[in-house]
Order: sequence, then structure tokens, then C-alpha cells
Amino acid sequence: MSNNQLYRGSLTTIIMRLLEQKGRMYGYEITQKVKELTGGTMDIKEGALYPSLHKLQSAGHLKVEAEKVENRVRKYYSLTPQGEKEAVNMMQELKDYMENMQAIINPKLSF
Amino acid sequence: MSKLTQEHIEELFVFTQKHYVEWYDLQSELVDHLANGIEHQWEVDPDISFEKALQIEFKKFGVFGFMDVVEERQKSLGKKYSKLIWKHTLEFFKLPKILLLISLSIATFYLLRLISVSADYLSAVIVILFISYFVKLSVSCFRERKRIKESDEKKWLFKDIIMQHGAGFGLGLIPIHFFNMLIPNTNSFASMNPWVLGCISFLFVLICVMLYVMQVVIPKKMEVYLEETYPEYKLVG
Repeated sequence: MSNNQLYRGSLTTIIMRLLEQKGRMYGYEITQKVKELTGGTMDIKEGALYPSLHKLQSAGHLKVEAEKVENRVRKYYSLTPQGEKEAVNMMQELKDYMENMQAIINPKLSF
Repeated sequence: MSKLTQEHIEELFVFTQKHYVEWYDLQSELVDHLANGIEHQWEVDPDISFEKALQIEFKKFGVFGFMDVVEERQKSLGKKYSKLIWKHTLEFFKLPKILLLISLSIATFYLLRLISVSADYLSAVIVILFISYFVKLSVSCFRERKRIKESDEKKWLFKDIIMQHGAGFGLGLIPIHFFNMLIPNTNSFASMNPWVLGCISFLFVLICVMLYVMQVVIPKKMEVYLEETYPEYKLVG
């Protein structure tokens, strides 16, 4: 990921949102999807992605399925019912945050 | 589009092992990630060598390589293990097991009252018990490691945590301090305040229950817990 604290803090929200939209994804797919959506400007660091995925899994927000793909095992992550609720909360938090930042950066001055 | 061969996949497993990832559950996920990355590079530049493409992919994990991934996984599975210990220990607070917990505590209480030996001796016995527990644990862990190395069996992180009793080494040391804190300045248990002695008896039984959970209950259900933790556990046997 671009070496920016702001992006790093949003990694879990990004993961949850992508899984909410796509259903299930594997680690590499998530990195590629983020790159594609942001036109290559945002690059998730693998060293941060997997720890986040494992943390979300042990918190009960994600569940894992394994499948044999070609000559290797692939792990697919998807939201649990608890994770679906959490994803909604996280998106709301992010929206509130963005609105607040917007208000600070561009204050509407009324006369 | 070029795809990785079985030999390449095996090479990737060795690569993760060389970079301090011992456990199959983590290795397989990282191997799939590296393999996808390398295949993607081949799509763009088919002439790039396997080794070079692998180095490029590995660099993306940052300066600490796979360390962050391993550490975080250890932490979260360690937490999961602690929760399991508590879950099984709390079962002793429900009927019918609570009757056992109470009767054992009462038995310990009266036994301690009866013995007029100095509390120091009992502390010494407890310390010796704990030391033997750690020696036994270390020996069995060492044997298990050797067996796995020789048999080429897959290693699973959660299995290792269960076998090594998770934070057992740290957890086991707490009670010794407990007893040292509670026991000083008293010549024998018989002359001790019954409430304090009651607490000591209960804590002692509780610790024994936890050790029983760690040594017997959880290892007995290991397969169930491994299948629950690792969806690939059955897939690869």
C-alpha cells in the first residue's frame, strides 16, 4: 500500500467492503482488485494484508474455505453473518469520517 | 499463459520454510499467493525467470518478509487457544461438574487444615510439581518435534499451540507467585484464617482443573479443533 498512514488505517474496511460486494475472495485477488479499482495508485502490502485477514477471521468476521486449484490449495475468505453487520458499521464509520474531514477541509461559510 | 509446475510449487514450499514459516497452514496460503504473483508476472513478461519473479514477489512482503504474517497468526491462534481453555474450565462451574469442583476444594481445605506442616514445605511441593510439569512438557514437545521431522508430516500451527499448551509456560508460572504472595508469614495452614485458606484451596483446585483441560480435554478433541480452524485440514490429510 502507498506508504500513507491514512490508507493503512482503512485496510480492514477495504477488505470488508470488497468481500461484501464480491462474496468470496482470496488474498492475491484482493491485492489485485484494489489495484484495479484505484488505477494502480493504491498497492496493498502483502505483509499487512494477511495479518489483517487472520485478525478478522479470529474475530469471527470472516470465514475461510479451502479449495484445490490446479496444483495448490487456495483459501477463500467470505463474511460471516456477524461480519456482514460489522461491514455495514465500518462503512458508516468511514462515511462519517469522510464527511467530518470534508467539513474541516472545506468549511461551508454562511453569511 | 505459463503456469507453475508441481516442482515450482514444491520449490515455493521450501522457500517459505527457509524464510521461517514452519507450518503448513501458513505455507500453503503464502505459496498460493507467490504462485499467483509469479504467474501474473509471466503474463506481462514471459521471459522473466522463476527465481527473479519469486524475488520480486517476496519483496512485496516488506523488509520483515513473512515475519509479520507469522507473528500475527501466532497471536490470533494463541488467543483462540486461551478462549478454549476458559470455555472448558467454565464448564466446571456448571452442574454437574461444579459439584466436583466444590467437593475437591472442600477436600483440599480440610486436608490442608489437618496437615500441620509448615506452609513452606507445601510451597516447595507446588514448585516441584510445576517444575516437573514443565520438564514433562518440554520433553514431550521435543519428542514430537523430532518425530515430525523424521516422518515428514505436515506441521499445523494450532496443533503446535495445543501440544505446547499455548502460553502454558507463562500461565504456569503465575500460580507460584500466587502462593508465595498468600502464604508468607504463616507457620502452618492450620493457624491460617479459614477464608484465606478457603481461597487458596479453591485456587489450587482451579489451577489443577486448568492443567487437566490443557493436558487431557483439549488434546482429546484436537482433530475437531483442527478441522474447525483449518478448512484445508481434511483436504490435504
